[in-house]
Amino acid sequence: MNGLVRFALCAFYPRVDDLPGLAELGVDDAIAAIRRDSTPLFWVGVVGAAVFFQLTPLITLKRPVPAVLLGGEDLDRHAHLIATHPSYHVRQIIVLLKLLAGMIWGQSAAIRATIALPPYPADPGTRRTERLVARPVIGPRAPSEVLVQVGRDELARGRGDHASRRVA
Amino acid sequence: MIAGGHLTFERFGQPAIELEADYVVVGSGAGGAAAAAILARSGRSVAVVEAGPWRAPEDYPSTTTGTMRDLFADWGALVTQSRALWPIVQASCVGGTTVVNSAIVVRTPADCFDRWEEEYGIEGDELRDRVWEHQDRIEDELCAGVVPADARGRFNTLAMDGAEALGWDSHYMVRSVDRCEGTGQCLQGCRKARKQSTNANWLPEVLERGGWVLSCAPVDRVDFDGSRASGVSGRLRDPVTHRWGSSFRVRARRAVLVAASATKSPVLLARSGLKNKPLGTLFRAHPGTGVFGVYDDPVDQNVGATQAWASTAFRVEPGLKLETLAIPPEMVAGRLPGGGAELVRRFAEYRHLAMWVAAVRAESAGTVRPGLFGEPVVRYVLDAADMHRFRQGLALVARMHFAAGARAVIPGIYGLPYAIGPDEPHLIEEGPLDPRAYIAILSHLFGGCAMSADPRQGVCDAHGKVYGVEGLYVVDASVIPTTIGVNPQHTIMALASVFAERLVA
Repeated sequence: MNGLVRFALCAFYPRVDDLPGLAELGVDDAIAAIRRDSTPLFWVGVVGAAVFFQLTPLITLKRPVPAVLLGGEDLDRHAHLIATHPSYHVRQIIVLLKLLAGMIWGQSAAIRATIALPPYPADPGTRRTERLVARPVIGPRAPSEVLVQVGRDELARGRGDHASRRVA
Repeated sequence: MIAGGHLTFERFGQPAIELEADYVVVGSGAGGAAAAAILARSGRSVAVVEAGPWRAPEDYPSTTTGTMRDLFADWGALVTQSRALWPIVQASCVGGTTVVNSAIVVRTPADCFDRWEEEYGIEGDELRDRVWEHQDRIEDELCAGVVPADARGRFNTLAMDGAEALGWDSHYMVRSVDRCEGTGQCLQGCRKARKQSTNANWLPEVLERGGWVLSCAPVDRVDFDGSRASGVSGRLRDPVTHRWGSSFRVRARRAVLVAASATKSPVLLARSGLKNKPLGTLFRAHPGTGVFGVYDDPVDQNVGATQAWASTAFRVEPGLKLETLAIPPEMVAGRLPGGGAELVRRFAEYRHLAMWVAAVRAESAGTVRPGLFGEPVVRYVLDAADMHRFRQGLALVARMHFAAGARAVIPGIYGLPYAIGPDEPHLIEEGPLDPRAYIAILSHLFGGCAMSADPRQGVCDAHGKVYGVEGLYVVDASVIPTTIGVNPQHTIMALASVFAERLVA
């Protein structure tokens, strides 16, 4: 099942020039984690959508073959056409795959590096189990230099405290 | 008897939990936590029962997949089951949606109270005065303040540029954030602990005052002793495996307050055997969607506050709210139209994209009912008048992008070109009225247990008391019978405070 899902997810985000494709970005670990952490219903939806992706070259390219047999260019056309299909129901089935693929791809360190963002720290996956949960402690304030510069510009334009909490 | 504190799922086979408190509050978001704090401060014993786990800022995820896993129920899979399947954004954790929203503070507009009086018989002047009084207090307690200039980022200041160029009244937001640093992580929970979500203030206070908070404890039903609500019961749930654990029962000596959200509260009451005819009706929302502007210079929308600019200039006529909303790049990747190499090429412009949002003050009403397995089934679709407004809002946002210097706008509407130019916002105004052509979300929810002076129209009276039973109150957004046209957190907190205060007066 993981291979079926992997194929469909990777079809939505192939390598283009310097932007690596999903297949190069640890997608197998991500799929395994999603399968482990999501609810059975969610996973069934993902697998069902991946099966649908395999069967639908018939409606996008008019070719009665599973998507796995399509060549690179045809597969790419299939991914685009199925994501923009005139039928709302078709788009909705595919949107689950596309969102999931987009999340795995877009949050990878390699993609973030191309858009001048640092890698995400690991998700801790922890929770509070202690009897008394204390209020969090706030550290010293340290906005980034980019933001500080935007702030200076704002103040220079007289936009320091440009707010309204009352609407009536 | 167990002394006060935080109790949660620890292991399979742990002993069942049996508690008794003066007041039991179901849900720990804006309404539940606000009410619990008022009750605890009065010296009464309080038990807050929350379906999700307690995650503190050091536990918050960074990624969107982590956010879906750790802060939402069922990976955020709740959608409207109507003509269009629009996602409903609600967190499931201690603190509720206050953990993942932008903590936007807008006082309840006076015209809302007037309308509630006219249409639902809720005495307006007294309620307005009490709500505004609590909003004063809440703003002080939760550090309400304007987003600092050095936390806004270009994404938000561009919006101000656009509004100023068009001569529209707009403002930088007031939010319950203690000196925001602009890390752009509101939607994943503020790891800097600056956002004043209720798990960072009122719920620890409840514990400090000797109350209980149960987490990983979805309430199955409100229990009754005759016609009086006597407590709540359910089973703990492992947040990792989603398997059910030991049972819990929390008895209420005085009252049960339900604050499980506009989708969950009506369903909980229905599952508990409540037969009020209006239950689950008058469900309303502010459906919203974003329009991307494409700029020559980098915008870097994830550098700076997630939301910092808004305009309520169109709130009354035609009934819209405009605001900025920076979504993480991985969500932009899924949100842009297309697939394959074409989609990747579109994403390559990410640094030059800014997404601003129009939300409709919709008049359409839907229903919330329990599904086959007790889950909420939300039926809601915008009528033609609301769809006209919706379209109009997106066209306004497009014009604002061009006024701010965008070279193109990506409307994200099925049937329209991928990108349009400065002379083409009319294409949006003339766009489809079919909701299925839009990728919208429902983030501000109202009704389902609406308050009304008439029990044939509402589930609760003007004090949140459920008709037909004793000792049962609703203290969340589900009591609000109309949309309000502004971000509702401040209204929910204040209304819950007013209702709770009356209980202990």
